[in-house]
Amino acid sequence: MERINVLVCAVSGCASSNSLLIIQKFEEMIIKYGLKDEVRIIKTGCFGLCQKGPIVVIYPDDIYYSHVKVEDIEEIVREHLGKGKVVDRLQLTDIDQKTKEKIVDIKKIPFYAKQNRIALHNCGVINPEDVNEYIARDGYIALGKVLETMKPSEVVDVIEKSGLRGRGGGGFPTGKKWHFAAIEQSDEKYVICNADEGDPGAFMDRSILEGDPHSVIEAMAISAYAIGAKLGYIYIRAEYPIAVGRLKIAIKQAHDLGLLGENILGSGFNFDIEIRLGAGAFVCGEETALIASIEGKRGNPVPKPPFPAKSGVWGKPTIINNVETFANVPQIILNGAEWFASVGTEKSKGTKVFALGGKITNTGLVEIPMGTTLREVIFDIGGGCPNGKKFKAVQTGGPSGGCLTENDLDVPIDYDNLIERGSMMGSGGMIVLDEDNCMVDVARFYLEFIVDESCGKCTPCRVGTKRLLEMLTTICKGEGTLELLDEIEELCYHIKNNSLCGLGQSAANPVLSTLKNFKDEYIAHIVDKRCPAGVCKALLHYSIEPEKCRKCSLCARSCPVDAISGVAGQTPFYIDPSKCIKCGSCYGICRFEAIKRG
Amino acid sequence: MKSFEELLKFKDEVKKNIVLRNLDKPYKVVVEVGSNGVENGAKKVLNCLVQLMVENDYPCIVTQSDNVQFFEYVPVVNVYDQEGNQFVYVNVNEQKATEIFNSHIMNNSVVSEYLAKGGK
Repeated sequence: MERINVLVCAVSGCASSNSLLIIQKFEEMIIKYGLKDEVRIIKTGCFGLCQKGPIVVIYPDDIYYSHVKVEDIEEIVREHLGKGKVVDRLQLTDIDQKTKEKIVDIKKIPFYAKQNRIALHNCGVINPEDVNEYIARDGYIALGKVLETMKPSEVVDVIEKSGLRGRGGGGFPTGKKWHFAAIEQSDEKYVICNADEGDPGAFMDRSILEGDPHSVIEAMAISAYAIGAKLGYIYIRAEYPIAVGRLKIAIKQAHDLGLLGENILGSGFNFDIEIRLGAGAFVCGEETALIASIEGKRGNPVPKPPFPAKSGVWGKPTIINNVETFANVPQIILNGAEWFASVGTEKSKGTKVFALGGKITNTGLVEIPMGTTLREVIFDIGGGCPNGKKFKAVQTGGPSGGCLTENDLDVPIDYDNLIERGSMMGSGGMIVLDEDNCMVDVARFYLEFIVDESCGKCTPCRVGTKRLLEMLTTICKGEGTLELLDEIEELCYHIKNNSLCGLGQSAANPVLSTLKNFKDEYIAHIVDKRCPAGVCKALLHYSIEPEKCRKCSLCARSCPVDAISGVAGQTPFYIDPSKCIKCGSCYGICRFEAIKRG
Repeated sequence: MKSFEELLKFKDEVKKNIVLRNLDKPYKVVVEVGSNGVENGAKKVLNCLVQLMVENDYPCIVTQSDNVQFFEYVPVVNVYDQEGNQFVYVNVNEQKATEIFNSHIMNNSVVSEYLAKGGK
C-alpha cells in the first residue's frame, strides 16, 4: 500500500543536473529494495531553491534533500525509505542567524518563510504531466464555477476588483484589459498567452509552464469566456522545449477530459488553444510584434493605438496576458477578489515571482507578497552576496529596467515604487551585483543586448542604441571625456522619447540609472583611467610586487601568452605589459597576493 | 466530462492521488522501524497503520523513523498532535496498533495502558 511520495524537481534547472536520471534511478532502487508498492516517484515543478538543486522531497516526512546526485539514490532508498533514517549529509537545512541553531523545519528556513505561493501554488507539489493531480488541487474548478454560476461580465468584475495587474512588465490592470476586449462587438475574439520570456536571467514563466501548465490553460479558458473568445494562442519560444512539451501534454489531457474544445462541461462554451513557437527574438515579447509573429509576419511592433483589445490578432479584439498573470486567475476565482486584494500594497495587489540571480547565495525562484522590501528578498530570502562580498546594486526589470542601490534596499517592492526610483518591476528578473561588478560594464552589457535585439524598424532605437553602445565602449576603454557623459544622457532621453515601442523607449534605462546612481564609476573610468571593480580590461594593469613574490613561478606557468618572466627560486617574476592580455589567470593563481591589479 | 457536477465528483476520486502530500492533519503517527523494531514486528505495525489510514480516508499522517527508544520497548509508535504533544506507545503489535488508531486517532482518546512510563 502506497505510503511514501518522492517528488523530484524536473524543470530545466534540475533537469540539466540529471534530475531525470535521478527519477530513473529511484524507480530501479525501489524495486531492488522491495518498496515498489509502498513508494511512488513523481516528477514535479520548481521548489525554488535552484542553487541547491537537484531537489528531492520525501512526503509525508517533509524532508528536503539538496544537491542530490544519481549515486546518492541508493542510500536514500535503503536508509530513508527503507529504515526511516534521514540521510543527514543531503538534508536541506539552514542556520538561524540569531540563535545559530540548525533549522530543520522547511517552513522556517528563511528562503521559504517569507514567501507566499499563489502563482506557484502547484509548482513542486504536483506532477505537471498529470491532469488528475491538478484537478485534485482544485484544478479546473474555477473554470467550472465560472461557466456554471457566473456571467462573463461578472468574471471581468472579479478580476478588476482583485486589483491584478499584468506581470509581464507594464503592470496594466488585467481586469480593465479584459473589460476593453469584452465590450468590443466582433464575430471573433482571441486570447493570447505571452510566454516569450526574453529578459536575461529571467525564468519565472518557464518555471510556471514547466511546473503547472494547466493553471495557464484554465485561466485562458476563463478569460476567453469573459471576453467572448473561442480560440487562444500560447506564444512561447522554441528554446523552452520542456515547457512546450508539457503544454502539449496538458492541452491534450484537457481535451480528453472535455475541459477544452466544444461544449466545455456541458455549458455550450467552446474554446481551444494553439501553440505558436517563437524564434527567440526579444522584441516579440512586445505585444504588437508578438501578434505580427503569430500572423506569420516579421515580428515588428506597430504604433498603438489601436490597442490589441480593439484590434489585435487578425485585426480582431484580443487580450494578451503574461504567463504569471494567467497563473493567478484560477486562484482569484476560487478564493475571491477580496482575498487576493488583501495581499500586497495599496496599488499593487497579490504577489510577484522573481528569478533571483547574479551574485546571490540562493539563486532561484521566489514568490513574495508585493510590499516586501528589496532587503528582505536579497538578504533574508536570497542569503545576500556570497563569499563575504559587499552588495553594490540590484538590477530589476531586465534590459528595460535599471539598477537600484543600497539606499533603495528598504523600499517596498511594487510597480510604482520601482519606477519612482528609476527602475521597474519588469517580468521579474532580479540580478544582484556585488563590489566586483563594474556598473559601466553592466550598462554596456544590457545595451549590447538591446542592440542585438532591436528590430531596426525605428531610427532612434536602431541607430541611437548603437551610438550609445559605442560611447559606453569608449568609456570602458578609458578613452571617454566628461563631455561624452552629457552627450550620453542627451541621447538616452532622445531614444526614450522617440522610439516606437516599449523596447526602444526603455532601452536607455540601465544607462540612465547607472549614470544617476554610479556616476563616480563613470568618472573614475574617464578622469582616473581606472575601473574601480577591476572589470574593464583596457584599464587593467597587472604587475608583480617584488617584495611579495616568492619566486615560485606558478604565475609564469599559468600565463597563456608567456608574458611573465623570471627564474624560479632566484629572482622575483615580472609581467611584460606589452605581452599581457589581462586574462587575470596569474592574479587568480598566486597564493601570496603578489600580483597587483589596478 | 459533461458537467461541473461530474468534475466535482472526479475531483473527489482523484484527491487520493496527492493525499500523502497534504500534511495538514490533526495527528502524525511515527513508527520506529530501525533494525530492533523491525526484528520485533515494527514493519507489520507500520503496514497495519498505513492500511487503517487509507481505509479511514487519511485522518492522519503515518510515517516512519529510525529507532529512538530502548530495545525492550520496541516496536514503538509515536503519536504527535497539532499542539506538538508526543504520546509514546511501546511494545506495540498489530492488535494494539488497531486499538490506538481507533481510539486515539479516530476518537481523540489516548490509550493510556499502552503508553510508555510517564505517559507522554
